[in-house]
Amino acid sequence: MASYNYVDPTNSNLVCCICRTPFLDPVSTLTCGHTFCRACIVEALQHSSQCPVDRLPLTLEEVVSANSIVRSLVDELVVECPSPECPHTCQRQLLAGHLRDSCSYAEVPCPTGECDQLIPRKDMESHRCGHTLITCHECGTQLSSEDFKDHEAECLPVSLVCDFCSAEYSRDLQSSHAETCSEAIISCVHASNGCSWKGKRRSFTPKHIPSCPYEAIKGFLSLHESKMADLREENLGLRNKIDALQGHLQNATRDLHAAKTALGPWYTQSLAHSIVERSPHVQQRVTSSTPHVTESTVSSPAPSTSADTPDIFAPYFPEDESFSAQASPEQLSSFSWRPLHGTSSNISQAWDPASLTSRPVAQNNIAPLDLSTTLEGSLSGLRQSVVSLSASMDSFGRRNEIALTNEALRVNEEIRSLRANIHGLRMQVHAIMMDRNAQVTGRMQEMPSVDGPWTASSRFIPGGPPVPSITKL
Amino acid sequence: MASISARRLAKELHEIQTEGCPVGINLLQADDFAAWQFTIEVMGESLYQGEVFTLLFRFDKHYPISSPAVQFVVTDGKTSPVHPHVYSNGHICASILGNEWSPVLSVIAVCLTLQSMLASCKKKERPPDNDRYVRHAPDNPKKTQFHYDGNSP
Ligand SMILES: [Zn+2]
Ligand SMILES: [Zn+2]
Ligand SMILES: [Zn+2]
Ligand SMILES: [Zn+2]
Ligand SMILES: [Zn+2]
Ligand SMILES: [Zn+2]
Ligand SMILES: [Zn+2]
Repeated sequence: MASYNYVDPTNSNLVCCICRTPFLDPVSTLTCGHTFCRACIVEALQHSSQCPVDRLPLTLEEVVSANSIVRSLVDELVVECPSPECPHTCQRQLLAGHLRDSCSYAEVPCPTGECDQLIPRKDMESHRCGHTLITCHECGTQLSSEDFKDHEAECLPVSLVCDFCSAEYSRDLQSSHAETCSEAIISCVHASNGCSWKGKRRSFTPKHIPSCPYEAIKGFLSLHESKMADLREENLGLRNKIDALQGHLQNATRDLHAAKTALGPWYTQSLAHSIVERSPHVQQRVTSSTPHVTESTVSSPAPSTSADTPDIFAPYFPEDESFSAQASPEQLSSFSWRPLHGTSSNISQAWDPASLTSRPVAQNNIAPLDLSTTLEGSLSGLRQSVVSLSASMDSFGRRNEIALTNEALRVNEEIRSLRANIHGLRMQVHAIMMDRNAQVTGRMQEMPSVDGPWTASSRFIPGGPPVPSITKL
Repeated sequence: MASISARRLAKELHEIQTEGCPVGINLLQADDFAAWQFTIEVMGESLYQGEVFTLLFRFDKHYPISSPAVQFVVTDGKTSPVHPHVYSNGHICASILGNEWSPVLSVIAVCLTLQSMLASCKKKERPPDNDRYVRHAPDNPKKTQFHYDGNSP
């Protein structure tokens, strides 16, 4: 789609200055922030490696996709359907879909794929592929579909001779004669069950039927057949169900894997297996860990561990300290460690913000990552640590501010005294200069002031030539 | 499917027809997207008072990425202005028509620049190499590699 007809006049900020139409696939320059259509700037850069607007050097590497706001602004501009008769208007980004799926004037390729004509969608029903060849059943000639209708009326049935009874019949009766010809060779109706009889039709009913062994168990065979059909159907249903379940299982596995990754050190393989085995050891562990789990989840908003699920999740979180230490050493190595005993109330007591502000020495103590509680317990512990940390940061900032103010006051005072000193010095120097000037002028009365013109010329810098009023062509 | 240059020129033409040309510039002829003609005269005080010139624009299929070929018409009794950057065959030595062309510029922008180039002229004279250039000049001024000297306006 190279051009659109926009219904409303477009905001000039959304118009590309190269093609003067609203941006198509807009891109922006990293260097100067100008926006162009991708195709426009790519072509312009092939011609000259500079930004067309400000002529700053620019390469293709410095051009990136424009802000998504700009993209959606131009994608949502209302355009007309390009089909001349179609009155449809829609957002620009939806036009391709309209043309592809619904525009009744859009030209689409032949649905049969037999010709490479493009047909308006509304004419699709009446479309006949002009050059598709159809074979006439009557005379065997090949005709295009357009000619076939006429031919059907013209084509005359030719008479044929039966191979078995040598009777003559017209072509349109061929199939009906084959079904009734008494001389034709047929096989037994029970051939599918194993009867190997073959013979003329006229001898089938009177001669073979009474002696056919399968005729006797006809009832059983049909019953058997219907039962088989039922089973086959059931089997198909079951297979579908298995497929669906397999899909579910795959999803579940993927979810489990994602959860495993998200849990990180809180997930241990061995415990996951033991919960599957339902060993008594695990049951014991579950009961022992239950109380503090429920306690710590009280304040947690996460829905995954409501009060009735801790017996499932608790075993996932090991109690041994060494594991937690190796879990993320680089994150924690800078802090001093103090083991906690797994309850959030414990953490909050140790990290009461009030006690912290009064005792800033304790700031280095960070709650340890305690894997013996649930993930939620640790998270709420960490949250409290962050709260207390921000509180102490606050007080630290305030103290710092006071210290800074004091220091500034002191420095100000010092500057003031220095300034006074300098003033005194200046007065003295002035007095000395006056003295000397008096002596010099006394000696060289006839000479004009020496330093007058010197200061004037050094201070005045003559202006350059006036800037040309016409911009360079 | 119209080419990019045709669509862009259609847009410019539409703007000219709806909003009109700037003072002193008039569209003379724009029958296709290959060549357009404008009349141009300098308004107010200038050395070219009362003179009307005709500008010819020729576009190739890469417009506006590549610059249009612009020159004054010197046939049918029309003349080019006597100016230090305009040759007697109508060719113009102006950097925005050469290495300083930018796709951001437009036909009207070129007209305005040339108008102000004439308006600011101090002395009516031909370029110093006029005779030599005109003898060998190609038909299309874009084929000329002009040297834009520092004082070129
Ligand atoms: Zn730029
Ligand atoms: Zn563009
Ligand atoms: Zn449509
Ligand atoms: Zn077809
Ligand atoms: Zn036939
Ligand atoms: Zn027969
Ligand atoms: Zn049989």
